[in-house]
Amino acid sequence: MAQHAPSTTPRRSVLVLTDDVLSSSMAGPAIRAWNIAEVLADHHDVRLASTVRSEASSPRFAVCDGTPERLRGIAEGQDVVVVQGFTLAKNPWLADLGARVVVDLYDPIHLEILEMARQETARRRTEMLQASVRALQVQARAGDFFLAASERQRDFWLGHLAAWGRVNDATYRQDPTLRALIDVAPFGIPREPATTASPAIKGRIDGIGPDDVVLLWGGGVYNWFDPVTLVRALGELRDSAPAVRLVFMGTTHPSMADPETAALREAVRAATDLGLVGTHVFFTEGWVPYAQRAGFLTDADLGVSTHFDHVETSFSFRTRMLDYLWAGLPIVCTSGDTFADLVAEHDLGRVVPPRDPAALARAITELLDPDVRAGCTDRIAAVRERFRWDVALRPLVDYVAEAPRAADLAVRTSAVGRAAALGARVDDLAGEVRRYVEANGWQRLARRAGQLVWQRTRSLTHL
Amino acid sequence: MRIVVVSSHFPPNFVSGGTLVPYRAALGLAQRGHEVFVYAGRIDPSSPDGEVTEERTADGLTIRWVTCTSATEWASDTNFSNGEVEADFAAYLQAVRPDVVHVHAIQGFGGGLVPLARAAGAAVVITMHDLWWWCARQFMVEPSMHACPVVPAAGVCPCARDNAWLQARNHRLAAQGRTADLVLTPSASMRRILVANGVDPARVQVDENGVPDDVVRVDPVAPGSVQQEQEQAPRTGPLRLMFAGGTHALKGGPLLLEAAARLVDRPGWELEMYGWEGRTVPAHLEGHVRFRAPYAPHEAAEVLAAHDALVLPSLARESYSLLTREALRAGLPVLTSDTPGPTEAVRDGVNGLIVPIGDVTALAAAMERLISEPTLLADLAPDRSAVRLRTVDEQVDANVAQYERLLAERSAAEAAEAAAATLEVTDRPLPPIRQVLLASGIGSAPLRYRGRLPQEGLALHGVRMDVRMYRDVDVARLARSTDALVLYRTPATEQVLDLVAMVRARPGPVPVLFDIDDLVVDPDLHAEIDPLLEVLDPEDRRRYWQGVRRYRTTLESADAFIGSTDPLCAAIHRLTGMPVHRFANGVGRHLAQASDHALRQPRRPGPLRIGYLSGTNTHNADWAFIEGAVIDAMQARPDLELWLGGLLDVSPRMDPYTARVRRLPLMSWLELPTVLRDLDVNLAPLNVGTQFNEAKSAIKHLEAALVETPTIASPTQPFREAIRHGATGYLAHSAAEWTELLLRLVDDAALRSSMGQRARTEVLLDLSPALQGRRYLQILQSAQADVAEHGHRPMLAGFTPETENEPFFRWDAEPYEGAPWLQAPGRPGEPAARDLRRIVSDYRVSAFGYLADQGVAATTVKVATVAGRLPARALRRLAR
Repeated sequence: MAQHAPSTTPRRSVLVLTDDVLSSSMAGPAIRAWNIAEVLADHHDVRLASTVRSEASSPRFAVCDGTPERLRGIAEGQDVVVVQGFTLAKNPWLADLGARVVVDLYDPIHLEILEMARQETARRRTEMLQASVRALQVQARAGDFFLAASERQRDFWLGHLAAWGRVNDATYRQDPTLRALIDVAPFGIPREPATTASPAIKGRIDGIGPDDVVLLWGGGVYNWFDPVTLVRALGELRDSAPAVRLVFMGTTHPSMADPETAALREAVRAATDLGLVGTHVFFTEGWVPYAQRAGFLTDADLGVSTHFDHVETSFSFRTRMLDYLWAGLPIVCTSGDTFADLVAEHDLGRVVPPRDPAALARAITELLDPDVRAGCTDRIAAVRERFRWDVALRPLVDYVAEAPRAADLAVRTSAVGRAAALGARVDDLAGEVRRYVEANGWQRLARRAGQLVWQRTRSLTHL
Repeated sequence: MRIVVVSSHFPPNFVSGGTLVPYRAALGLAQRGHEVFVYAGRIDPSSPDGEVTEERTADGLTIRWVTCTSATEWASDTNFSNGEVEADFAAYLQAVRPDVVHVHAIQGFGGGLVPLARAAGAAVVITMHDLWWWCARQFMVEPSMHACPVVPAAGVCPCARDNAWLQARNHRLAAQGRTADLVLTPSASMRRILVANGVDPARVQVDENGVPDDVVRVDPVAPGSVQQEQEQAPRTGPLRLMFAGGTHALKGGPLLLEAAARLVDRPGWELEMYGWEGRTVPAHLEGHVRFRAPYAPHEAAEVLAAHDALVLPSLARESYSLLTREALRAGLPVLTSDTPGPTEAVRDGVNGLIVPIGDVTALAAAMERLISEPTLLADLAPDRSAVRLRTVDEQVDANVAQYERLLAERSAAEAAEAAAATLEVTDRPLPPIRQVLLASGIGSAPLRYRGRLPQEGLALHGVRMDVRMYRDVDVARLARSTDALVLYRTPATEQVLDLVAMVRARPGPVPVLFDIDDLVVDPDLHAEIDPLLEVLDPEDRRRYWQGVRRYRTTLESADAFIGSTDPLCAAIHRLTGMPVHRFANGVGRHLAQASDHALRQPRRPGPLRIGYLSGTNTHNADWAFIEGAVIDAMQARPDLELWLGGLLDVSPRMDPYTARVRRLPLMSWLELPTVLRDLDVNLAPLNVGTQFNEAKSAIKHLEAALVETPTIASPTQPFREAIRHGATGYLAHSAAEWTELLLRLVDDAALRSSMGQRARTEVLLDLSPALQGRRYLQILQSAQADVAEHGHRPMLAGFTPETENEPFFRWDAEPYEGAPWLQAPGRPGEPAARDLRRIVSDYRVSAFGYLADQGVAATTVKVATVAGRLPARALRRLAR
């Protein structure tokens, strides 16, 4: 595969899809889709669409309405379709349009569900997990090329692909490293540096003065995070370092009407109990628009991210950490994930064990020294180049330049391949029926059989 | 100079007015010392096609004769594309190496000779003596003797075979004709037709036919002389009319006899028809009509002196008429059909009368006027000295000057090219405009006129225009490579403004133009327009005004404006100060063809009808303006019907006439011509005095004109521009005028016919697809030059934009296709089965015409020749 997309490569039509809202306030999935569109637009005709709501615009590519009744219109005739999350599961016909399918697996959605659905009933948790696994299976079956956000994630996804039959003789012969099947494209940072045009914290938030040291929590407070330990660390620092302030930047996900905010509620409670709210700990409501977050980042002194130790942590890719890199913020984070390894390896800040307020307080104290922070910032400047979107997405750019059909999917166009694929779908359907009956009983299945058959017939015929 | 003169018909093998021109030109050029080579076609059934002979004539011409007998058949493909002749001509050019190739008649040789001459390095001149380049039958008259529209692309004429074949043929010939350096034609009116059919006006000049000195034989009489006074004295004897067009139906002799038959009860006139000797005057015309032998050239003065007026009812589009000019010089008014050559010299009501082509009623009415109005003949007495005949010497000298100019320009261009190759060029030419994107905010008729028609016209000049709805996802892709972006009635969105920003950021001078055809970009017109919107609910009115502000936002992001009318352009210029370009709504091929088709259908039986096809329900005020006049007319003419199309509200005053009012449902634009054709008078009222209405275009006249229905309109600027009052329609200023003009038209069928036909011709000549495409391209080039010189106009300077967020999706614009009933099945060039009856009928008409003209023996040979060429499959179809 080519390493760079030369300017002479054919100009392809590429559709990038996200299930997230495209607007001035975007969350991770939409930000990633947006930047994929940005980078590919250098070489190709790109359409970016949200299946939910598109409210943004770009002079470089077409931001499209990808809601159900309009998705087919914008998807037809494309050379490459880039999907993420549940998009393909909801619209399996996307794989049948003749376009190459790139599956962006930067987000292990099934692991997220494990934690996100913690408050749900067991049955609901099972349903949600099954849905996410099914979505991954659909993607695994249809993808010509996959993207992981880190090498660790790539290993993880290779396991999935192997289990689902995509690591096979054909894909191995196509490329024994399997980089032609799945490669790494981390979340990225903009080409342009973060600017300090309009500071958003010091002097702007009541209780935070220009000389205070600001720790920034730069994103949502989901349940796999551990803000409580951080709040307690602040409590410990209250006397020894009275100028330290902790700011939670934007606590409401823009596309979640009812976010799972147990962790946030606990953090607020802990801060309230410790008497820190409004003096040392600050919760900003709403979601900070993507374009405005630089004002927070450049006005902070440290970036912080603490989480619990569980499987999601191992394979997640914390996009807020990238924002810290982008703004040159020294980082304090919990160990156990890809970024913690990076921070430790390059001395970009401090890595602490999970659930350890004292260690966290010590780490923050060490970083209160301006010289220490300056050293971290210098090292960050060197490291962050690899995370610029245009660098991070180079494997995708290279893939789209040639856009080959995955070797094993090419086989499926033969009669034998189609039969095998049909067999696999029948197996899937049988499993689905079994699970449905387990959850709903035979009587409900009998009542809804006609509707279900109708819904599934199309997916069965879409090979 | 080494000059090749090409003519597929050439004396002495073929003698006619048209063939004498290249013959005399060749002689004149040789006499001036140029080396002249004639490449001539020979009509000779006894020798095979393609046979070549060389001849050196006694008068010093070197002629290469190429037999092309069967290729001169109009229906033959070799008539316009003759590979055998092309091969011979290419070799001939190699041998002769001419400086100039002057092509005259080329039917039978094919248009391929022109690019060959160009490729051989010669300056190429074409003289178009007739309309063969667009009409295989040369004169724009169908086999059934129905006159074709002056722009064949706008008609459904079957021509020599069928319309699809004609269009394909013409497309090919147009590309070949474009390679000529200069196009000449004998009259200004012919030039206008050529330009309307796509010839570049910068490359076409009038080159009036020269007449040898010994043929310039009728001396004009000085104004005020005794002779002229005698001629202008009231006539005492019978009116003496003459006709000298021969017996071919194209020349209108049979039509004239038909008109004469309607006047047999009128005393006081006689008609002499020259070239009709040996035929028997129909019994009912005896006493009025006499058939005479053709007269010799030297007898012309004497013959003309023996008559009071010349009748020239030709059905053909005559490119020139020596006889017309001779008659005028002899003091005879000329009654002519509306055909280019004669009307170049004849002014209706000044030195003659002009009647619609093929309109026997109008012809008879005009003859009746000459008979019954005692002073008319004297009133029409021409100024004999005003008609000047050009000599052959003058024409040849002019031709030589033209050749020299072309060769000098070529040398200068080559020198400039060589200099550019060696020197640093600072003023690089602007990139050619090859691809244009039009993003539209509206569909239906507005998009057709402002998007599809420019698209159609630009295509004729090799420019591709993509027409997309403004939210269509393809817009973003196409904008990246377009050479010009046109935003037609596009409301501002975040996406549109981003698109504009992207286009403006492109390195080349890519102009952004905003087009709109109504004055809906000025929020300050609230007081004027809002009352017109009373029919809308409040939410729609709010949206309307929001739309106005959004249109304005898009306008303010553009570099230049394209508007449909002058008042609109002026208003936009006042508002924004930006460069404005006028692009009138023009003629679309599909509507013109549907109109031509409708014209060929019989008018729906019934009483006389006037009609107002308003479309939307925002025209109540316009209707109110003329309602009283219409009521007066209906009162005065109890049979008169009123047809109302669209969502118009009439007042209770119309109640007594309900039985005579027909409400038409909204209809497809392709059905509109059928309705307009059934109307006798079309009404186009506008509430005069508002900026908004003053800026509206005149398409109501245009659409009616295409089916030859005359229009009475309010005198807004666009209608004043579109309608020549009294000639191509009427402009009514007051209610009384509306009534008067309505009744005048209702009462006079001949007036309606002549006005309607003239209106159609004018509309086609002024607004044909080829002309419109050229105008549009010039607008784009001008905008491009502005951007190249001054940069983009500041975007939204000092203007607060109002936008919405409207992401792209797939939004297909309505297809632009012709009427399904006009789409011939089958392969191009192959007559459709359903047309076979018509083809047989055409052949039969031709055969009888030929029989009348040439006699039994010649017709038998002709029939055998034609039958021999009929493809076997066509015969099988006929048999079925």
